[in-house]
Amino acid sequence: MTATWQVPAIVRLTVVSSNGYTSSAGERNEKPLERSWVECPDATQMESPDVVKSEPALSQYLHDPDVQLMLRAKRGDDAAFSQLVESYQDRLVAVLFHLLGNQEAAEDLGQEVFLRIYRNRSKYEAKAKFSTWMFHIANNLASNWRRDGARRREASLAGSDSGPLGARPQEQLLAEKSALMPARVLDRNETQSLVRAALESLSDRQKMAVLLHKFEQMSYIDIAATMDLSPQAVKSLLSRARENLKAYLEPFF
Amino acid sequence: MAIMSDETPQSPSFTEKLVAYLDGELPEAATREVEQALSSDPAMRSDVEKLNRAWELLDLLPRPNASGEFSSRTLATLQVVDGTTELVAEPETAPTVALDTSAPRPLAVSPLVAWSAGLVVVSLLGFAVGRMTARPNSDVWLDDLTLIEHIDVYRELGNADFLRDLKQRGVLDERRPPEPR
Repeated sequence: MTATWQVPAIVRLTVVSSNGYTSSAGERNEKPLERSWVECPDATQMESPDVVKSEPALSQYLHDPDVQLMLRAKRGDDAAFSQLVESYQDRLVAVLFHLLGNQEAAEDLGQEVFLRIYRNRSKYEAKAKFSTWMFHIANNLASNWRRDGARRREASLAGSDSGPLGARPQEQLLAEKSALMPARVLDRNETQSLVRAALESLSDRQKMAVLLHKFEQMSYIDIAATMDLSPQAVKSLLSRARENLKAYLEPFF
Repeated sequence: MAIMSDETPQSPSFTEKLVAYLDGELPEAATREVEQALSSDPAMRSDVEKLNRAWELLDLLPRPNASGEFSSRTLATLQVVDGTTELVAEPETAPTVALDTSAPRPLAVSPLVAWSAGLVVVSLLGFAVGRMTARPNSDVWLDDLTLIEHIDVYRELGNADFLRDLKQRGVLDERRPPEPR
């Protein structure tokens, strides 16, 4: 069957997916693109192979006021960079908080994200929205953080299912308790804990895609750019994520 | 309906389509087809409603702000980094793990190493100053050259009292005639 899901026309002009827009779902669609930003000499550069280097695409991002701030920062305007930090700190920390599971780690990693951006400001090119670039760096750092954390836990706490990345014990208990009597009415705090547990039940990539879509209102195209995936892979990822969320929360509707 | 003809409501591609519809990511033609299907299929409508409800519940997730000191702490760190950027330049061709948090960082100098280095520097400075201010041995020998040349005579004389005695008697005064005996 030919693809029925298509990207908006304005995006089709600038984006060519290496995987093509097939409508079949599956893990293969979630594989990262063969060449990604991470494989570039400098992973903080916006050098997605899927983005056609054309003037219209470039000028499109120049209208982004945050891109303008970043270009000023590139020219040595530290006040412009401070403005970016002030504008994005809460958004970044909120996403990282749910990715990493605690505020302290979220702030540490958030600081590291800004540090990476600042260090690489001289190489910055306006080939995407500033937020896409920033969350791309955040996603990579969070992946490394989780990987290193998993290694540490393997070394020190083999067999334990608690910790910042797992479902919080309290929420886990609530979910188990509520599952026994799904018909009862939950108060707001309980519902919030359940929703957090539902989010925790997603894979890391599903969680990131959900957070970017929900918190940042990112389009599939922007999420794809942020996570080094094809738009079709993002479509599959979000579809499975929403199915999982529905399955987890449905007993409490 | 054409769009749904080879899909079942349980198939992943069908769900993808519904989710893309909810996300507003379907093109206009596909959106119309989904809407037609929804209007004629109550089960599908119920499924979409549940998907939507679960999604809306995510609005309850907390969105914690950065702490009050976050920006000031971050900007202070950036200033420190900026000051050392030239000393700790990143490699031109960073490896594929350029965003790895375990990437090498500037080495921290331990207090022991710092003290040792300071001690060596002070020692070298002391040595250099000593070399510059101390007179060479040869200069001291030149000053005492006359004494050295007559050292054998001085040894025979024994002590200075004898010389003073000779001087009082005028023996050492060559221009004075000797006293009559």
